Order: sequence, then structure tokens, then C-alpha cells
Amino acid sequence: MKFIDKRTVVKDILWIGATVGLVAAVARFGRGLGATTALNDAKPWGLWIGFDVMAGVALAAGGFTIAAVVYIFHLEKYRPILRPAILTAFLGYGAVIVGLLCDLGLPWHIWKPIVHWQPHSVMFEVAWCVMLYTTVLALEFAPTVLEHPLFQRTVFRRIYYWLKRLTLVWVIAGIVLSTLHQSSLGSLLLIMPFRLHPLWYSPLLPVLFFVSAVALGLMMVTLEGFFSAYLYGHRLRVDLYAPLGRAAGGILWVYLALRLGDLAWRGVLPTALDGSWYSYLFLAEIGAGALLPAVLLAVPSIRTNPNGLATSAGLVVAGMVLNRLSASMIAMFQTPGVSYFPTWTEFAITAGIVSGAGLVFLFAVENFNVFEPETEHIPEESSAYARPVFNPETRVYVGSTLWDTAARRSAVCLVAAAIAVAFLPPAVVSGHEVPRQPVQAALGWSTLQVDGNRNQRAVTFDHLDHQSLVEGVCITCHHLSKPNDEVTACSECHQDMNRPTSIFVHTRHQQVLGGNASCVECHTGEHTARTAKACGECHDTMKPNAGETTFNYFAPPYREAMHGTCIPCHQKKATLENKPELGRCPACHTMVEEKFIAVK
Amino acid sequence: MTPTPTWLEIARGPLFRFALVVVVVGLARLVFLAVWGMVAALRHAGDRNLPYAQVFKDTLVWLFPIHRLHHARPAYSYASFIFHVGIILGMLFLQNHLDLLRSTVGVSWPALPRSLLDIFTLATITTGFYLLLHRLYIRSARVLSKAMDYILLLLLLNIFVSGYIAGRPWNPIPYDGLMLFHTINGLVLIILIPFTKIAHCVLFPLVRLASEIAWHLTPHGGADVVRTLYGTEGRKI
Amino acid sequence: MTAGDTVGILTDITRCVGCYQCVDACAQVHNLGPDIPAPQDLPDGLSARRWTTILEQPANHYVRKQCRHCLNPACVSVCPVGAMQKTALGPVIYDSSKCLGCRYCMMACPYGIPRYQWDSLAPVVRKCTLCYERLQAGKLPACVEACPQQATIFGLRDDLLAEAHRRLQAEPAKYVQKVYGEHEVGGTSVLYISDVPLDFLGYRGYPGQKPLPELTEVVMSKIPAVAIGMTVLTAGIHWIISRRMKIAARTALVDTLPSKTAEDQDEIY
Repeated sequence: MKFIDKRTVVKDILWIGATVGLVAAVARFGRGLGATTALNDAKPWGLWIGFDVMAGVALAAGGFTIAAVVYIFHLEKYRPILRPAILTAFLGYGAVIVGLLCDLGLPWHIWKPIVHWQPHSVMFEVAWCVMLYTTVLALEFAPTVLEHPLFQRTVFRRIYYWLKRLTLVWVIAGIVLSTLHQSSLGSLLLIMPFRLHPLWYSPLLPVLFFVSAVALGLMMVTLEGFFSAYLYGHRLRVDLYAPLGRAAGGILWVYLALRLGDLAWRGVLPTALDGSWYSYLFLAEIGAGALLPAVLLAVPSIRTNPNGLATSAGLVVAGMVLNRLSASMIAMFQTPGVSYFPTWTEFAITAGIVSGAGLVFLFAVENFNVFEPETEHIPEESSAYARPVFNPETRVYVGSTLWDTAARRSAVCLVAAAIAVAFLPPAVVSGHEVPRQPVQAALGWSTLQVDGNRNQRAVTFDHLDHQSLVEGVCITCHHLSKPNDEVTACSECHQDMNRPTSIFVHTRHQQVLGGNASCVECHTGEHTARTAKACGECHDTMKPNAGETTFNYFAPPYREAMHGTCIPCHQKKATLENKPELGRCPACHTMVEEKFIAVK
Repeated sequence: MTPTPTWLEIARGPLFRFALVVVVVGLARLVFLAVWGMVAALRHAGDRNLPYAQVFKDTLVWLFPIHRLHHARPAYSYASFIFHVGIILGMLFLQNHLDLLRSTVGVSWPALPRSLLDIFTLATITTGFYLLLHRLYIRSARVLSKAMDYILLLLLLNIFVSGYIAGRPWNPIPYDGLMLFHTINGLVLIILIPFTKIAHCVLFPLVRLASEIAWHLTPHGGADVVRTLYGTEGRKI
Repeated sequence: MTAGDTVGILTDITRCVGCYQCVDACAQVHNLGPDIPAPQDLPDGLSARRWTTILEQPANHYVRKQCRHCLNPACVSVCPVGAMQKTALGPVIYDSSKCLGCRYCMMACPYGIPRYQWDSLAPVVRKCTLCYERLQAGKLPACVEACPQQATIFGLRDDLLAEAHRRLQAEPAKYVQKVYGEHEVGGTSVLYISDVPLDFLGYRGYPGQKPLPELTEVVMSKIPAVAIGMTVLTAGIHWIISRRMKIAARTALVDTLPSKTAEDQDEIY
């Protein structure tokens, strides 16, 4: 009796990933991009475009390459890896679309490119190609599903027959569409030479993206074969995968020649060694992700060793994913003062999509004839109708059932979901957050420098002058003062530039009034804020402001308070004394004083 | 900015959200698994004609177990009943709790008057201590008790005693500290609900039905029943 | 229609006093609401809530930043659904009913102008429209109307260019001898003259003269050829190989025939 089944562990992990991703997705659609991502106006494209779309499409390139190998080049030997390759490609494109739905600001408009044509746009072309190719992949994979005993009716048999007969059409369409959009993902970046580092920006981007996608596609299929072999306990068909590795190695040499040749020709190659972190990124990507595997794959003894092959495949996959991430995200120049690092919710949605695709893959492998005759199907769990075995000796259950699996998996997912909810960003929990900007007190005495957020753009405020204007009625501006204060400075209550400040201090009242025994001093009945006395009932000076019916425990933001106090009075004066400049911004914001006066 | 007391930050912070998801989704999961298990059991049952009306009536009757139990153990059954009522009312109908729920989740319902809840809280504390002593000193109860039974009872007493004292003018303990104790105990208890016997708060309507199904099972069918009766999986009985 | 028939704005940096009247007028006319900072904002002050802003560049220079309304705009060329449009009049306008929210326009803009409503559940791209609706109603752009200094003026692009060159020649010592926007990225409708270099307005000082859309048009124009070429190539390879395989199979069959003579083989081929 096996107690831990590696497939069970892998599936549990994938379920956790999917659950956490789901929580993050709910947060993203419930609260918007601002609350759940680190995207900003300087970096409007982030992890979802970089990984889910750019890398996702490239990782799914195995679908068209293996289809070409089998159908165009008639290398029938590779037919056993055709179906898994097509399935991965289909799931990959599904993942791309789901990732895109998360990334788009208006995902319910995703169909718009079908109606509104803009053929000059690379994005338009990519959208159409992805749409059509996903359909093609669905048609290519459909026969595998239709072979299931569930679809024995005549109508399904007829569909199956026609899908099979038209295979060549799908395959050629798939190759053409893939060529176009694999390269177009590179073309997407052509319009931003000012954003992308020259080590990545190149007029050859479309060609580089296509060539690297072919190598990556082959290596991804290999890596997947390795994992399937591990997971389902069959031996890796080195006789199939080693030649793929050899081909991928050759393509990698072409890629390296193109990439380095282009850099050298444009004279950017020395930048690769200038010691900046871009250069290290470039060297890591080219060295570990292309050069090293190209060398490894050139050695027959490494190529034909399952571990050597898998290592090379892993390097290529990691290197090419890094390349796509760099080109669309990491190697984009930073805008000073603004940085982007994905939030955990972004990572979680990406991981969730990958996990979901993984689960569908495993489901398909276990329910359809994906690996064709070479794999015998070992069920992970016994059938739902199998009776659980109860051992009267130990009084525990042995054996695994669907119910037990569901019980364990739901418990694991429950905890994962609860942890995810606990760690949701504050903006998700309490809505869009206005950044804190604490206010500093005005400087000076008779003339004040009012610069709440200390951004060096102070308003010079002649306090003495204004004092005389209001004839010493301090309350004109100092509408409310702290108890025992004659006049309280503005910044004492209005403590944030943009956010209201609570001005009631519960602990202080508690202390002053004599600890726990004092609750009843203010609270009658329920001990909640609602039942507390109003401030004015004890503090004579604390009355509602003009225009308020009850005392407001929240002081408005500093900016709002200042403008609200000054502007009405200034505007009244401007009309009364016919001095329009008194009512304008520069009357107080005299950052350009001399100029303004000079022009007047 | 006026500082928020630690206990209040905990009471509406990440730990609270964690507890809320665990208890709501966790209990829903238990009901789902129980119903699924029962449906599976029923499919294997020899005689599928269940007396649903009788089961429903029994469930209602057992909701107020005093009728059945007061002959055998009158003090215990009355105490237990009062204990449960106090817990439900004190937890779900206190204004402060509802304010917290409204400000975090956005749902609320009418509260009960504080004075009434005070009486029930005192009753729960008294009966809670009685039940604790009962477990400790009545031999039949002690034999059946497990560590978790004591832990849960102590947690409940902690929560109710601290909650009650915190709201008194004569409270000798610093308020914020006491509330921190109250909050943490409360959250731990909430998190434990779907994983311990407190799950009976949602599973009790299924108990009668499950045991009825048990009588309809074919030989060797006990497996399904026991699993159904115990909402918790893989547990040794 | 040539670039000269289109309208534009000329901003003379030497005349701006940084009074923010244009910023306020813009916010008022377009109903942009209070400018409460958000975490996604950039230091330049431009956001979905502020379509024009004033950069306080060193030494009492006030440089107004707004959409340049390029003559061959990158944002229009990249938009997959044509939500961004260059109007015949000059302004680059945006139709949110078509927008997907892919934010490619934000990535492609060499001046980093389009901004996003990050806090919204149905976010759209926001940027200066050169008050297209007001222009159609025969009114001036709000910022031009509000400027107390005539630092920002409105007119036909040709006239504005002429005026700009006139000012450059009139006071050659005062101005940098260049009309910003005359040639950059193929020319823009919003022009600047200044006494300090304004290259910082472009993304990382991108000063290219070539319209950005041309960079992708080179590739896009090859797509039909690539599509047809790939179809013919793959179908051709398939056909050639399958024919060879058939012939090979037949040869193999012939090889197995018992009466194998040279004449027989000649007949077959």
C-alpha cells in the first residue's frame, strides 16, 4: 500500500495554486487593477503581459512545431508526442487568454477587435492570430476528446471523421498563424525604442522571437515529456526526445548567431560587458538560457541521457521565459521615482492560471487517450463506486476514495484560501487608499511659511496682516480649538494632506476620566461609539462647525481645510474691492512672485 | 493620527479575515461533505425508504433536548441548554460584535439589548463552570472527555468572562489588555470551529438523518455511516 | 490634407508664470474632480485626473506638459481597435466604447502622456483631447482661454510655426533656436519654444525625428507575404515529401515482386 502518491501531491499543490489564484482573481475583479497590482502610469505592462502573454505564447510553440514535424515532414516516429504537444499548446493559449482577461482594464471588451478593425496595429494582428490559432488548436485536439466512450453517437463520429480528414488544413493554418504571431509579439516592442534597453531592442525582434520560440517549443515538449514520465511512471522515450534536443540545439545556435550578430552589427555588443545590471541580466539570459544548453545539446552523451536532456530543456525554458520577461518588463528603462515589482496577487493569479492549466492537463491525460498506446493508464484513485475498506482491527479507513480525496483537498484549499484572504493588500480590504502625506506645522510667527507636505512650495501667509483684517476675531479661521488651548494650529487636527484625520482620542479620555470605571461617564447602555456623548456636552467650545448638524470627529484633509478657509473670503474680497487677482491661485501660491507682479 | 488599540486592529485585521474565511467556508465544506457522504451511503443502502417526516420531527425535538434528557440528568441537560443559548446570543447579537461585522464585512442585523445579553452571559459563565466541573468530577463524563473538550470549554469561558468584565465599571484589569485577551481567544475559537466538535452548530440537523440512514444500510455498510456521523475526516473513532 | 491645415497649440515657456490657471480650467471643463494623489501617479503630476500639468523645471521655468497630438501618433497606430483616432482637425481623441484596456498606447507614447484610471473597476485611458468638443463648438481649448499671459496660444499649425520662428528670430539670444514639435516624431500639433532645452519632455529624452509608427509598418507590410509564403512552403514540403514517400513505397513494392527485370522498372518510371 502506497501512502503518498506523487501524483496526489502534485495535484494537491496545483489545487492550492488554483485556489490562491482564484482568491486573487476575485480581489482583482472586485477591486480593480489599482488595488491588486503594482502597475502604474510608468509601467502599464507588468507580470501578466510579460509572463502570461509573452512567455505563455512562446512556451506553447511546441504545438505547431511538433505538428509540422509529424504532418509536414512526415516523421511519423514523433506521433506519440503530438497529442501532448497539441494539448499543451491549447492549454497554453487558454492560459494566455485568461491572463489577458485579468490584465485588460475592460475585459468584457475583449471581442472588440473582431468588430473594430485596425490593421496597422501589431496588437490587432496578435489578437486575431491568437483567437484563430486557439480555435485551430481546439479543432486539432477535439478528436482526442471525441474518442472517449462518451461520444459514440453518430453525430460525434461524423464530426470526428471530418476533423480527422481536415487535419492537414488545421496543421498548415496553425503553422502560418504561429509564425505570424510568435514573431509579432516581438514586433509589439518595435515601437518603443525609447523604453527598451538596446541589448533587447532590435529591428530583428520579430525574427528573434520566432526563432527562439521554435527552440523553446521543442524543449518545452521535452520537459513536459520528462515530467509526464516521472509522474506516470513510464520511461522517457529518449529515442524520440534526443533528436528534438539536437534540432533545438541547432536552432539555438542560429538564434545566438542572429542575436549576437545583430548586436555587434549595431555596435551595442560592448554594452553587454559594461557592468550595469542590464548587462548581467543579458549575460545570464544568453549564457545560461541559450549558450549553455546549445553546448550541452551538441554533446550526444548528454543529449541521450534523460537527466542531461531535461537539464538542457529546463535551461532553455528558463532562459527564454527570462528573455520574454526582460523584453516586455525587466529590461524596460525605469522612470525615476517610480518602480514596479509585482504584488503577490499578480504572482498568485499567474501561478493560479498555470496551476489550473496543469490540472486540466492531468485530467485530460487521465481521461483521454493523450499519450496514445505507449502509456497504460494507472488510476490515481479508485472509482467513486468502490466501497471504502474499513479495518475492524485498527478501526481506521484504509484505501483512497473520491470522498476522501475531496475531503483532504477541500481542507487544504480552505486553509490556502483563508491565508490568501488574510494577506490581501489593504487597498483590497478597505477600498482605494489615498496615500498618506502627514502634515508638518507652518513655520514662523508673524509671517508663516505654510508648506504642509514640505515640497518647497510654501504659501507665505502674513498672520499679523490677516489678524488685523478680521479685527482680531481669531475664530474666523481658528474655528475650533483643543480644550484648554486658546487657538490650535491648523496642522494639529488636519494632520494629513489628503486624508481626513480622526480627532477623538479614546485612550486619552479613558485615562483622564479615571480608567475603566469611567466608561459610564460617556457611554449609556451599549458601549459603542454610537451611544457615546457628543463632545459639546462636556467641552463647551466643541460645537458643530457652520453647516454641520453634529460635531464632526473627522478633520478634513489639510489641503481641503486650507482652501476651504481662505478661498471663500478671498473671492468675496476680490469682488467687493474689484481686485480679481486676489481670487486667483497665485494670490497665495506666489512661487513665481516677481514674475507675476512684473507682468501685472 | 489617533492610535488604534492593538486588540481592535487584530479584531478587524488579517487574522480576523483568516478566521472568517475558515469558519464560513469551512462549515459550508463540512455540510457539503456530510450531504455527499450521506447520498453515497444512501445509494448503498438496502432499503431506501427513509421516514423523512419522522426524521424532521426528531431533529426539531432534539433541538430542545430537555424533553428527552431531563429525566436522566436534569441539571446537566438544563445547564447545557442555557449554556448554548447564551453562547449563540452573546456571540451573534451583541451590538459591538455587529458593529465590527458591519465595518469589516458589511453585513449586520438587529442587536439584542445589552442588559438582556448581560443576564445570558452570566448564565453561560455559570453553566460553563458547572459543565467544566461536571467533566472533571463525574467519572462517566471524565472517561469520555478528551483534551480538546477541555480546551474548547476553557476558551469559551475565557471569552465570556473577559468580555463580561471588560464592559463593567468595576473592571480592575486594564481595558485594552483585557480586550486583547478576549479578541485572541475569540479568534482562536472561531478558527477551531470547523475542525472540532463545535461543527455540530451546522451539522446537528444532519445527525438524525445520518443515523436513520445507518439503519438502512446493508451489512458492512457501517463504514459510510461512521464517516458521515463524524464530519471530520480520517479520524479514529 | 497637410499638417498645415490642422490646428495646434504653441506654448512659449518664457511667458509662463506657473499660475496653474490652465490646469484648473482643464480640470473644470472636463469635470476631472479633485486631484487627490494615488499610488500609481508619476512625479510629473499628469494623471487620469490631470490632463495637463506644469513641470517646475530649474530656475523659475514652468513647462506645461500635455498631449502633443503628434501628426503621426504612435498611440493611434498601436491601438488594436482604433479607439485612439487622429482627427482631421488635429486633436488625437479617444473613444472609450471601443477600448479593451490593453494599455499599449501608454507603452508606445514617446512622451508618456496617456494615463490610466487605476482605481476604477471599468478603467479607461485619459489624456488631453485638445478640447475637441469645444473646438467643434467654435470655442478655444480651455487651457488657452484660461491663460492670463498668452503663454499658450491656439491656431493653425502653420501659423503657429510661423509665429514661433518669428519669435525665435526676434530675440535670438533669449530662445533656444528650435521649435519643439516641428520635426520630432514626425511633428506634433502642440509646439513649444523655450529658453531651456525641452528634451526632457520626451520619454528618456527620446529625440527621434522619425514617426514611430514607421518602425512597425516595415514589419506589418510583410505580413501578407509571410502568410502566403508560409502556406505555400508548408503545403509544398508536405506534398513533396508525401510524393517521395509514395514513390519509395512503390519502389519497395516493386523490389519485392518476384519477376524483377530492368524493363519492368523502366515501365514504372
